[in-house]
Amino acid sequence: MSAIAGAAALTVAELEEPAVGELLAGERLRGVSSESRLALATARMALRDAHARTHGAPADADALGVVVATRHAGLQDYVELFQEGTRAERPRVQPAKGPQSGLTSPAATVSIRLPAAGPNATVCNGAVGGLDALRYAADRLAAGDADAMLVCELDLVPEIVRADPHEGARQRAAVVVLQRGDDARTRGAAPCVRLGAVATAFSPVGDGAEAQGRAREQALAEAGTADAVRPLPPAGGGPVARLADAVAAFARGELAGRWLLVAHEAGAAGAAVLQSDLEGRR
Amino acid sequence: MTRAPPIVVTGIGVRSPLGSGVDAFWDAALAGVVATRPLARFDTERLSSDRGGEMAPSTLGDDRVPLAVQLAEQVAADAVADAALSPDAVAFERVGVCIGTVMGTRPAVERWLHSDPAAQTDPQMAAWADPALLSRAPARALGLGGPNCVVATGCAAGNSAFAWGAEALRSGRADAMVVGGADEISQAMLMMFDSFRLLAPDVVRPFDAAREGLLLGEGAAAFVLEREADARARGALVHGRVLGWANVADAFHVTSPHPEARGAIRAMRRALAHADVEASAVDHVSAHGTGTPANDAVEARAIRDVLGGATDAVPVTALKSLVGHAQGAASALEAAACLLTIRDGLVPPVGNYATRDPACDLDVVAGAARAVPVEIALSNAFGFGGNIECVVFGAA
Amino acid sequence: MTRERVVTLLRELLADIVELDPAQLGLDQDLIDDLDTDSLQRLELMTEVEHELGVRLDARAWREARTLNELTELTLRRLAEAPSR
Repeated sequence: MSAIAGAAALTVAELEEPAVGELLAGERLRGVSSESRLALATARMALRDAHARTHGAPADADALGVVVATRHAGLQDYVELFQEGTRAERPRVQPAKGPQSGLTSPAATVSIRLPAAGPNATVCNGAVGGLDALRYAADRLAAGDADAMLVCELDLVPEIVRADPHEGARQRAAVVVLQRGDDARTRGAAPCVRLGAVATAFSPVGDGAEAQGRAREQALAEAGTADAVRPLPPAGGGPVARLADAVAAFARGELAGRWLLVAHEAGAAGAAVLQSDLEGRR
Repeated sequence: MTRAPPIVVTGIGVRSPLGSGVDAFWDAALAGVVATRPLARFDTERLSSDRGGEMAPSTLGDDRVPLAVQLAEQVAADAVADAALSPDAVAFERVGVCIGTVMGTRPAVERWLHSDPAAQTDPQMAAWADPALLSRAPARALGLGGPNCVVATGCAAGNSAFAWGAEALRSGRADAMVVGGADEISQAMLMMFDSFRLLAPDVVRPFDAAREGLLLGEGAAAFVLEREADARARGALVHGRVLGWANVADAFHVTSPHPEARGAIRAMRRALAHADVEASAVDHVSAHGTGTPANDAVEARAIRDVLGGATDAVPVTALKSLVGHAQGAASALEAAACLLTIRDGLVPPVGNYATRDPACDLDVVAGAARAVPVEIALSNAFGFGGNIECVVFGAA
Repeated sequence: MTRERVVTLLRELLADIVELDPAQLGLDQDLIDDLDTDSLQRLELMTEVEHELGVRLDARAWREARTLNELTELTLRRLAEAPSR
């Protein structure tokens, strides 16, 4: 059984919607969905940071990949497309809206605009998806399919699925730039987070506690750590931690040392061992 | 470099407009049955085409459950049964599920919106609007506790699921993986392709000089993947092998493929390299072959670039000519066809092919199925926005 | 509808799509080589024109047109054939 062999996150970035404009200045983005813009802005921010750390781009375009974890990307555009196209009075379908209504839109937008022509994927597993994406990215690096991978978790609550109509639609994106640990060191970069292991599991019955236990055990075993590893708490009052929370915490320099991130929902569970060597940045 | 453990297919399940169950599907494919016809479930009055590859009405179950979820559950169960996979042979907590899709459960949302446009904050709709249901529902139904997720890499999703599943096995994260693709037709996608003026008015004509566009299809296919050593040890029947795969981004445009097929060429070459297979060893190509003017010309160019002079002797098929474009299920259905081609030495014909297009200079199998031994097949899947995933299949 | 009004409409719609000033769009400039539009943008333009004028245009002819002047001719011909709102 192989463990993730030293993937390192060079930098992490987390953005909420209002901060996006400046990062996308000068881009023609008419018709691009808000979540795709958010993913692109966050990716640019993360790459800029990685660039600064390694005194150069982390990878050429062909060797730069993108993986996005999302549940609701494109849903709002999809609903609007459907409603505009089926209404009785002057129905219309705007061609550009169609591609934006897809789950793949953020990953596609990032790959086209950066550009990033390496591996490209979109994974859906709710709160656990970010860990699936991290796993996928680490695999691509280990296989030599890419030299750097952008791992983007989107946390979206589009208007159409908001429980409370008075609550604003929420959009948050977190991006990790992942490289092989050796590459990062060679380029003189101090990775801010080391990925020890990622494991996922599913409980077909019950509340998912069983899957959480298995994922946790597997991740700890793979990371080869016998020490007690502190569980990462959810951020911002959310019920469960997810990748975006870990990104936010590390970006704020709040967490040093070794942490266990456990994400879970509806029977799905994932666990990741993350180690920060930071003494506090920014 | 240590040789990665060979991955084999031990179970197959299919539900499609061509037929449900492997035998019905395959008989119809070999006979070149064109399953696209006037759509029954959708309002096509304002569209430039009223056709698609729709599941037969008798196959539609409880319409409170999204059709894609039903299909995913069915094919997963079929594949697991076909593989004779039981908890005695493999611990079910070590069996995972990965399903590829374009739309997830979104078409079900249309029914809610249609019946009550104001049902915007209906919690039931919110509960259904989750693509992950396509992998979780089969896992719950079958008691599978391994790694579980949905991959939504556009029209390449079926192939992506193979890659995810194979890698979970090679890394030891699972002992068996149920992988596949599922999708249903939706009003929104019909309208989208209509807005692109890419709907074929009558039938899909991949590589034909008179091709005008695609038709949408729906369905699902699933497969059980295992490490070969494990499969042989438990006496499983092996349908074929998953030799290699590759995923790249075209990184060009949200709808148009790179005109020089840059991404397609890279993906095909990488998949062959990953499979440790020379281009000259490819016996058959299952094309993405949507029937659009752009895709087919670019794909033909890519195939010729990769296979070189041998292209003239490599039979090419395009299942979308018979089924329509089943979206996330497309490359899963096409994978089933590749494995059956390898098993039987029969390549299904490309439907509706009448006039050769000099820009699509390929050995298109037309008119009738062709008998030819196939040990190695390359399956292409090119998604919107540039997701490209190619898989190489081999004989058992 | 006069030629001038169609030209203005096309120019304004295209300007919006490509995020430029209408004055920057020459009527004889090549849509692809000079104005750098892609197929989706030209398709959007066609859809917008159809929506505004209430007619269905010939997609193939539209795809083959290379300048705003050519698109104007197409649109005028179509308007002459069919009643618009």
